[in-house]
Amino acid sequence: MKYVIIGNSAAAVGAVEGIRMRDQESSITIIAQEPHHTYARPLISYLLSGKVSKERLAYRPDNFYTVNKVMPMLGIKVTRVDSDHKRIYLDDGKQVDYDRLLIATGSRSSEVKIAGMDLQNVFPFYTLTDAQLLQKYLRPHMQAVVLGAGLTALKAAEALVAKKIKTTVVVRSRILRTFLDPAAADMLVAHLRNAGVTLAVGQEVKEVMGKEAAEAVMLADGSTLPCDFVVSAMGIVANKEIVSATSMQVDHGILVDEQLRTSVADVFAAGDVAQGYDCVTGQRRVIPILPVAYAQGEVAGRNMAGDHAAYRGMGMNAVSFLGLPIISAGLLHGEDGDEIHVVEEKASGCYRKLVFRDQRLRGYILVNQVDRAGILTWLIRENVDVSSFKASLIDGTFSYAHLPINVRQRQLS
Amino acid sequence: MKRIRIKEQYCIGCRLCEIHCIAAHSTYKYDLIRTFKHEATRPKPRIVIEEAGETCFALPCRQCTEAHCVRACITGSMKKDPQSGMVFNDPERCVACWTCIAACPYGAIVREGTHSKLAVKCDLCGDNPQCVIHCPNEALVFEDVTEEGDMG
Repeated sequence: MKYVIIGNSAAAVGAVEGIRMRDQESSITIIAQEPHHTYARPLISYLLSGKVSKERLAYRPDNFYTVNKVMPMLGIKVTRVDSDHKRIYLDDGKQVDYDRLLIATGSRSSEVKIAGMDLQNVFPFYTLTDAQLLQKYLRPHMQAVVLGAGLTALKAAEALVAKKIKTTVVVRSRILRTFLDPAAADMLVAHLRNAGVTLAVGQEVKEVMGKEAAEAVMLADGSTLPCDFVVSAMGIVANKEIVSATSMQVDHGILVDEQLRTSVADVFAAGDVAQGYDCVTGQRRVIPILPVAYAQGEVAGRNMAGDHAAYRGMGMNAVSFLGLPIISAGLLHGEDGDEIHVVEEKASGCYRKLVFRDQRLRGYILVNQVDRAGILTWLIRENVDVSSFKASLIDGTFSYAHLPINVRQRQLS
Repeated sequence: MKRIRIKEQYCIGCRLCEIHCIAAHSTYKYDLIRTFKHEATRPKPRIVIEEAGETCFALPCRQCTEAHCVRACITGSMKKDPQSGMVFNDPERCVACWTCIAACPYGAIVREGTHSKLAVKCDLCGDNPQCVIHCPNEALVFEDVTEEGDMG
């Protein structure tokens, strides 16, 4: 059996570990465009701030490929997949044949169609190389404008502020839309402002101004933000182009079933490039977060090696901004007929929102008081009937002792 | 490999497990009096008593075979030891993002440090768990188990 994995991040690592649970011998080849040993992509902002060294960025130890008998082919781009002949084509003119293929090519920053985005000091912020280039450019007391309102943009801003860069984040509508509701977002905005980040909320960027280098960002209302450089982090798109010559079903990402199989035999997809099932909605969507990428990769790997494991992901984010921890998962807003409970304690800066539907917990948002959040995640994932202990969830006294005895014994045995 | 088993029927909720866990993880290792009188930042217990009405029992990390915290960890610092099966967090590599806390179904991972800068959890006290040793009722026992599908 010859396994080939395109990609070298969380989903690829999960797949290697998944394959090796069942098959210790067959060859695994990893082909990836980025030249680096596998690294923890979410940590690039920590690299920028100096909190984490390049060595500590490693997602797996240096001997990962050796121990797992993986042949890494790094710094090589796959140009296309020919699933009829089970062959992939590389940009160096070579070809690689596979028996089972995993596409784990991830995502990239969206292209932004704004004048001036091609100026030399407009930096993308998505890869280790991006972070290293930006790191070299930084000098204390520079001024930066960050475009975007997602985790990447805000983590970049946090790092820049730590480096004594005067930073303005331009936010079109609302920060962390897929992760927070308006009330929690307002709390984070206030916290970030206190910590020295300037946020221009509700502002559209009209143009990045400058001849060769960006000198200012002009907003739609005509005001300008002078700057020494711009960081662009306005959304991501799936790297799905390599399968365009195949008959594979593709939507926002490559469509996969619960076993992470694509519509083409012996080809699997996992991570940001895959559009798999969400256990909360039952619909397929791209869930571009590392825990889902790893878990999808692991299940894909097991199934590539002959298993029939199933996985449904869930939107779940945990993050800490300048000392403020926030965790959310599942449905954040609720619809008609849903039961929503919100507790906001202004004094302690805590916020807790629970969304119930049909006597099941379907989502939550926790700000500042995040301890034991995983129990809530578990209640959502396992679709546990909460009717007998819902009151304890709402008043915050819930513990495992509140669970019905049969549920508790099954879970603790 | 050995695991802590919960014997719910014997627990009286005395919280000695929590207290000895705190002492075991303080700089005054195992010394209750010094830990509680002198430790500047007292460690948090890695085991908690779960209580509701008449029901109570101690809940430590289950050292899951397929650990959600390990899969979810964004840095690779949370790992499962292939030999012992113990799940542990590398303090040098944890960035305190709390994804493990969002993932753990037992709520067994706690935020520690003066500014909560590290995710910590049950480390089985080097195969000598103080919660088990000091439980007066044998409501916690440390015994051999075989993990299904174990890689070790």
